Amino acid sequence: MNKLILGRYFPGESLLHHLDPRAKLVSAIYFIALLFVANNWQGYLLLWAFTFFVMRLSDVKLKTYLRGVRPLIWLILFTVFLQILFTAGGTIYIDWGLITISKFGLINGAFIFSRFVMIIFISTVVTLTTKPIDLTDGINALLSPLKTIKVPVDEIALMLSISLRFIPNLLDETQKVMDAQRARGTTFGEGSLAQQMKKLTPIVMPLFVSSLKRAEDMADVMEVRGYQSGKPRTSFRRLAWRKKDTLSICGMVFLTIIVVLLRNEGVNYLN
Amino acid sequence: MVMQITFKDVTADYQLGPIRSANILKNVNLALPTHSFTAIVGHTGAGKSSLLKTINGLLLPRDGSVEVGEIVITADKPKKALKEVRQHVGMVFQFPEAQLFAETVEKDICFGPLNFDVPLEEAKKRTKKALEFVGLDETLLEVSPFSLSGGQQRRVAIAGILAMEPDVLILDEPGAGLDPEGKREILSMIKQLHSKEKLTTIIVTHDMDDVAAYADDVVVMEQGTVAAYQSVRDFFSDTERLQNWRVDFPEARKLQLKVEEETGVKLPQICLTIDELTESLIEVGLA
Amino acid sequence: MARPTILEVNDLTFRYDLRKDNNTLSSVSFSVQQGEWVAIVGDNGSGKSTLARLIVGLLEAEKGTITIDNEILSEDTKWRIREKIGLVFQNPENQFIGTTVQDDVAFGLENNNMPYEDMKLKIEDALQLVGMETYRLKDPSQLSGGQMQRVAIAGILALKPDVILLDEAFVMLDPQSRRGLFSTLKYLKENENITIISITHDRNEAALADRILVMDEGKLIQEGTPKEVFSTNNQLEPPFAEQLRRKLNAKGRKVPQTYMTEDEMVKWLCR
Repeated sequence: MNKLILGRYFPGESLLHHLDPRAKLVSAIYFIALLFVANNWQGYLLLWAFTFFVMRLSDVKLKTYLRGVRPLIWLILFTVFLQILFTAGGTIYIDWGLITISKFGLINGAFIFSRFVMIIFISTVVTLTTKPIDLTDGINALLSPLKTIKVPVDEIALMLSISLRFIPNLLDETQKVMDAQRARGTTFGEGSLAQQMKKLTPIVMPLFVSSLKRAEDMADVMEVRGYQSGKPRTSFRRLAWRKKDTLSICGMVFLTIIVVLLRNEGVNYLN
Repeated sequence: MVMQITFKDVTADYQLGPIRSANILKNVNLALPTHSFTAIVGHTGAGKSSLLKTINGLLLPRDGSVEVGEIVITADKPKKALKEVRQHVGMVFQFPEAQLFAETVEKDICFGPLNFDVPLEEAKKRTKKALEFVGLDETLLEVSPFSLSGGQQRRVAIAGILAMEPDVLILDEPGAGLDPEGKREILSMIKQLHSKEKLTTIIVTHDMDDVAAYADDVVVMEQGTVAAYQSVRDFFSDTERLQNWRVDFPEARKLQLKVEEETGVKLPQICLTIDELTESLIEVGLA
Repeated sequence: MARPTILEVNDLTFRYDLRKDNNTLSSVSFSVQQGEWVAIVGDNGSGKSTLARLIVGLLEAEKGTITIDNEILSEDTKWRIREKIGLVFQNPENQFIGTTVQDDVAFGLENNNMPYEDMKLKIEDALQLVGMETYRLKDPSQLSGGQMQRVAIAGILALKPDVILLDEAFVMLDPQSRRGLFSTLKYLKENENITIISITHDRNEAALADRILVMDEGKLIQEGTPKEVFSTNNQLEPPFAEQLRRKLNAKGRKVPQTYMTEDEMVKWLCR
């Protein structure tokens, strides 16, 4: 459970921690789009430089980011491998009939690899530096135009924030139940797959029961405290857009201009 | 079985997500004799639960060692030692009813013994015995534990530990959340078991009346260290130190202090129970 | 001076299972004055908690009426009534809905669609009343059970209620946190004229009340001051000082023959 880095928040005081979640979300989505605009090594080099710059800004160790990529590394390598095999063009380095490795293939593979890793890095930057609840607020704000077409954005956000609120409790409880069953002689991570699956019941069942109980309790609490779904309600949580948020968006625009200027109109390996 | 528990310079910490918490146990040295009944007190986060967990290897010491009888637990996960120690150390967590999972009470109580390769017949026999001991009827064996009341669930969970026939019994606030009567029943049951089965018993509690009524010795945990290890009576006699730790007094002692302050009359002994207080008051002629 | 009646329960009857005959509550009637502290005691299964759930409209009575501040509880009035009477539940964790202390106090206000500026003031006031103003930005994992219950009380106070109803709200707390909360309740009763109804099996908590109602098997079997109830009811374990009085009495000492509080006992010993 401690291995998953993507989606985890690291408390800190860096500039990124203090940016508005909307600014961070918009910038991240925008950056990911930019990855598809760049089409030569100069463009990618620039984007890599930007990615590392942002990662430095977050005050989180590079090692942590690399741990975030690890669970996905095989998927990435597999995709990259396919790209290398199935892209033809340029000098051919190896030609074993079915398996052909060409210059274009290698370049294309490098680009695909870069895109994948940068997407992971940048999304990790956002989640590592933003409290889950602020992220919810940010998503809520960004989706609020959908209210005009009757999407219950506020309610979704409230549900999301309550779920987030109870994730630490759920983790605690999982730990407790696992400890309790280990004390009763279960060992986890041993035996055949079937045996291991069987060992899950003593953990999943109590968690299921306690989650149900918790949900019931919470429904009562919410009702007693006057929550009625569909009724208009104000929000105490505020997002504050500051100068640095505007500046960060300006930075993204600046980055776009350079990436576009760097685009190589002649050769486009990617299409 | 002789089950002395010895902590030798135990230091431990948790990996909590990305953050390694500061040491939750710092250089703990402690020796609890076999067949003793020890209460562990201290504030939330003082390291009480962590101390308990190191005894059966749910938390491994980073430095130092914990010895339970002949078994030694150190940082380099000795798998065999862990299995062995858990067989000898029964651990009842806080709100243990949260660990119930099986379809029937019998299956749930059998879970522990079966994990330790006790034959099914023997496990069933132990189940009946344990159930009887916690004061539940045999007819409940085939019932789903989830259909029972909260108090009954707690008893089933404790029976699940007793059926492992441990030599050391550790309980983290066994009475939490129960009504006064239910709490008293559980605790006197534990006390009875302690003397009958010659167990080494350790409980964590916030209630000083429980400490006074059931325990022989007290360990005070403070910021991951052992601040004191004394007999119950010595412990409660040092009024000033207790106030510094912000530790409560048993009700009898509390009233004694109040009376002594108001009257200026010192009672002849440290009164931990209502009977002692009654006698002392009569002895000095206040009542 | 007769104080106005704030809560009137009349002939209240309730069954969980309509097919069965055993009433969970049968024909319970009582009333509570504004500013009074009433304790409701009784064994598990005596119907105390059912009563609490009926009073806040989480359950619907089969027969009988509940009147709060001259308004009869019904499907139509329950939302308005819930602003006048707040319920503190047993489990501190499960009733903490917000991500931080101030968010949690805000929850009820948000449901009332209160403007941000008003909320800010009310939250500040409410947190001050329970002594949690310095914890405003803490999240529940940083709070003790007692502190969470304080926040729950603040969430109710922010709505300017008449009555706070506590359903075994302190059972999961350590003795010190309990005592701290008792004095907070006392303060609220004396300075804010808040009516307190506490459902409990803690004799020390019951002894603090102006009046005790004793429930047994769904019936209200006794009603009176702590003095009256503890001296005549053999089923209830009395507070420590009274136990001492009985012990001394049994030893043939000339103690007064009626119930004694701790202060009275100390005074008598010092005579």
